[in-house]
Amino acid sequence: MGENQHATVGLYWKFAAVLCFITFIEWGVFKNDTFRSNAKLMIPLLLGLSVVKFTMVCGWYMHLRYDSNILAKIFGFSLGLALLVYTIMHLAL
Amino acid sequence: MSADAHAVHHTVTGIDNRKFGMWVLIGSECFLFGALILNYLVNRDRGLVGPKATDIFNIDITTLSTFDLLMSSVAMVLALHACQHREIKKFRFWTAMVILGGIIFLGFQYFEFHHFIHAGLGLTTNVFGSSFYLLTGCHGTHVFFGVLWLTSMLVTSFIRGKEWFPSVQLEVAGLYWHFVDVVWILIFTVVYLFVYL
Amino acid sequence: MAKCLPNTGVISWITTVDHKRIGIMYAVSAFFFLLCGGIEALLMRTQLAIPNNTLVTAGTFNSLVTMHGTTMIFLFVMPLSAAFFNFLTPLMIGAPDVAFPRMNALSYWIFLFGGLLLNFSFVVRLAPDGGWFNYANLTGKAFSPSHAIDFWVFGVQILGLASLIAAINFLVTILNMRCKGMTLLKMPIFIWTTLVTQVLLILALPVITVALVMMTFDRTFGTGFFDPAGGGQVIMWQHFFWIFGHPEVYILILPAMGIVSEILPTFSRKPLFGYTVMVYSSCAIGFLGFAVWAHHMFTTGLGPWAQALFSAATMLIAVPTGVKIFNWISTLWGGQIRFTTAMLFAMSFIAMFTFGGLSGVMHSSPPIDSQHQDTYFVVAHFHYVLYGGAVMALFGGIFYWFPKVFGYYLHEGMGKAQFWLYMLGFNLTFFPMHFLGMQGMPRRVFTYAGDQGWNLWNLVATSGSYVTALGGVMFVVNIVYTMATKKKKAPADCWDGRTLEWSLASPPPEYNFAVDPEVKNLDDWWHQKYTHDGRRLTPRYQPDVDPATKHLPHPSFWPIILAAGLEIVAIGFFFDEVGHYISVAGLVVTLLATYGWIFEEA
Repeated sequence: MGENQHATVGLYWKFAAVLCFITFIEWGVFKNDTFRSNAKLMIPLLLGLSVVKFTMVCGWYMHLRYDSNILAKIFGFSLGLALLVYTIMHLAL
Repeated sequence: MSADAHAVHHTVTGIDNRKFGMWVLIGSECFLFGALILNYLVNRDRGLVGPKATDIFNIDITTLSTFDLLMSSVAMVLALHACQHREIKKFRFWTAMVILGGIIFLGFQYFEFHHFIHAGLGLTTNVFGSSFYLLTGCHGTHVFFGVLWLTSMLVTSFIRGKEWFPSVQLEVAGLYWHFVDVVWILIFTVVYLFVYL
Repeated sequence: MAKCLPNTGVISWITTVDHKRIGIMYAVSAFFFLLCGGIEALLMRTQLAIPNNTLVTAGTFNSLVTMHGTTMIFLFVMPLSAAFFNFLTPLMIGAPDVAFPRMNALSYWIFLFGGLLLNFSFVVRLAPDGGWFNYANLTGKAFSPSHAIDFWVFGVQILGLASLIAAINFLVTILNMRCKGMTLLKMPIFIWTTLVTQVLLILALPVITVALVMMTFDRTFGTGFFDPAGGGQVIMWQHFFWIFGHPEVYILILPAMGIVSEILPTFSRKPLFGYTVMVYSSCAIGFLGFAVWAHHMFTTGLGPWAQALFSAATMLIAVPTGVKIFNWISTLWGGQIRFTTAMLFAMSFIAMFTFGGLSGVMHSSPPIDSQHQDTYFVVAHFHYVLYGGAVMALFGGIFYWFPKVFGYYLHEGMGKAQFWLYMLGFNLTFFPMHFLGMQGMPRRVFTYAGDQGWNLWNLVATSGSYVTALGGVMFVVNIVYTMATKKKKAPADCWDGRTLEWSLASPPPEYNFAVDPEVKNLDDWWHQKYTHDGRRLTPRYQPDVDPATKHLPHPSFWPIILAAGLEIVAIGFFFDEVGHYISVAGLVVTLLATYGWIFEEA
C-alpha cells in the first residue's frame, strides 16, 4: 500500500481544483453563443475536456498510474472494445 | 470482515483479489453503460410526442450536480488516504463527506426527474424520455448502492472502533465510486452538453 | 456460526464453498436440464416425423422450440462447462481454491434458481414461445400478453447474473492465483480457453442485461423501446441480442475446444501441437467474436457496407478456427493413439465441428445466407458445431475427468456404445437437415405439407433422435452402474496425463495441494514423469497431510439465501398488485443476506 508516495493530499486538492475549473469551462462553453453555433468546434472541445477529466480521475484517483499495468490493460481493453462495438452498431443502424 | 487473513495471501500480480475483481467488474460495466448511452443517443430525437431534451434540460443545475459528484470523488481519495495512514477522524469525516455528496447528487436527480415529469416527460411519454430515464436511472441506482455501501462502512467503523482501518475494502469501494463518477462525466458531456448537437 | 455447519449430508452440499463440490452440483444440474431439453427435442422430432402431424399444437411447438434452445444453451452447455471450470481451474493452476469461494457458491445457486424459474413456466402452462432469441416486437406486450415471455426474460436475466459473477471469479483466479513458476504461457490450454471465455462473458453479458431490462420495461412499465409506434425500433433488440449472442456461441465452444486440446495429447502421448499458436488463436477468436454479430441479421436490410464488413469479419474468424483444426490433427499425427471413450469423443469433435464450421462459413456470405436464413440449413449448421462440437467434447471431458472427480473409471464398453449411438443418431438427425434446408423447409414450423418433398428426410432425422435418446439412456446406465458397483478404482494419474490435477489423489483432498506446486515447464507433470527421450522418472506425487493443518474457507448458507432473495425479486414481476411487495421482500432478503455474508467469518 506504499504506492501512494507519488500522490499526496496536496495533489488530490490540486486535481480537485482543476476538475472544478474544467467543469466550469464546460458550462461556459455551453452557454457561449460562439461555440453553440459551431458544432465542429464544440464537439471536439467538450469531448476533449471530458477525456481530460476522465484520465485524471482514472489515473490518479483510481490509482491506475501507480498500480500494476494489468489493471490499466483490463480497463483499457474493455473501454476500447466497448467504444469499437458501439460505434460499429451506431453506424450499422 | 476477516478479510485481513486473505489480504496476506500471495497473488501473482501483487494486487489483492478483491481490488482485481472490482476492476474486472468495471470493465464489464463499460459495456453496460455503453449500451445505455448508445441507446440514448439513438433515441434522443425519436420521440414523437411530448417534450424534447432541448425543452427541459437545465444545464445550470446539472453542472452543479456534476461538480458535487466530482467533489465526492475528492472526498473519497481523502478518505482512503486517511484510512491508509490510520487517521480515524479524517477517515470517518471524509467517508461521511462522500456519502453526503452522493445523497446531494441523488437529491439533484430527484429534483430533475420531478421537474421533467411536471413538464410532461414521464417514463412512457416517448422513447427519448424512456431512454433518458433508463440511463440516468441506472446511474442513479449505482450511486444509491454506493451510498449504501459507504454508509455501511461508516457505521461499521463506529461499531468496530478506532483500530479498524479497512484500507483494501475502502479502496475497492473507492474504485466503484470513482467509476460511477467517471460514467457521469461521460453522461454529462454526451447527454447534457451535447443536447443541441 | 459457519464453523458449526456439518460437513456431511444435504446441508454440507447446500453450504459448500468447495469448488470441487460446486463443480459436481453444476454437472448434476446440467444433466437434469439436458433431460428436459432432450425431451423437448424428442417431442419436436416426433411431431415432425410425418407431415400434418397432430401430436402437439402449434403453440406448444413454439414453446418446445424456444425452451429446447434456451435450455440446451443456458442450462446444459454453459453449466456443464462451468462444472469443468469449477472443478479443474484451481487444480490445473496449482491453487487451493478460487478467488472468491462464497461467490462461487452464489453463482451456482443463482443459476439453479434461474433454471427452475424458467422451467416452472411449464408447470403453469406458460412456457415461453418467442424463440430462444426472443425477438421484439412479437415478444412485446401487444403480441405476447401473457407472462410466458416474462419467464424467459427473467430466467435469462438471472442466469446471466450467475454467469457474470462466476466469470469475474474465474478471471481473477486464473490471473492472480497461479502457483509459482506458472507463467501465462505455461498454463494448460484448457485454462487459456477458460480465460478467454470468462473475458467474453464479462464483456458480452452486460449487453443482454440492458436488452432484457429494456424488454422488461416495455412489457411491464409500458415504455416503447422496441415499439415503432412510439419511435422505438425492433432492430435495436436484434443488435443488442446478437452483440451478446455471437460472443455467446464462442462462450459455448471455447471450453469444449480446451477440453479437446487436453484429451488429444494425453491419448496420443504427444504434446499439443503448436500450443502458443493455439493460445493466440483462442484470443483471436474471442476478440473477433465481437465484430461479427450482424451476420445473424443479413436479411434485415443492413445495407451494403455493413453486409460486406460483417461478412469479411465472419470469414476472417474462420482462420484462427481452421488453424486449431490443423493443430489438433497434427497433435494426433504420429502419436501413440489410445482409443478410449474420451478420445473417441474428442476425435469426433474435430470432424463434426469442421462440418459445422464449413456450413457456417457458407452463410457468412450474405447472398448465400439469404437462401439459408430461417431454413433447416442453419439448424444443421449450429447443431453440428454445438452438438457435434461442444456436446461431444463435453462428454469426452466427462469420461476423461470422471475418475479424477469420483475415484472410479466409467465403464469403457458402455461409454463406447454411447459414443457410437450418439454419432449415428446425431448424424442421422442433422445431416439430412442440410438437404431439407436446401429444399426450402423453413425453421420453427410445427408441421409441413406432405407434397413438399420433405417427408423422407424428416423421418430419417426423427429416427436419429431416438438413436440419440438410446445413447443418453446408455450414459445414465453407465453412471448408475459405476457408482453402484465401484468396480474400477482410479489411481491419481488415471490416464498418464500431462497436467497438475493428475498429481493429486482421485478424488483430490478437500484442500487440493498439500504442498504448493512449483512448475518449470508447460505440461510440468509430464516433465516430472519423463525425460526428453522418454525415460521414466519418479514424479513427486502430492503427499497426504492432516486436513486440519490446512486453512479452508468455511461453509456458508448466505449464498443460497442471497440467491433466493434475487429469485423472489424476479417472482414479484409475475404478480400484479402484490408483486411490488414480493419484489421488495426479495430485495430485503438480498440485502440482509449481503450483510450476513460480509460480517461472517470467512
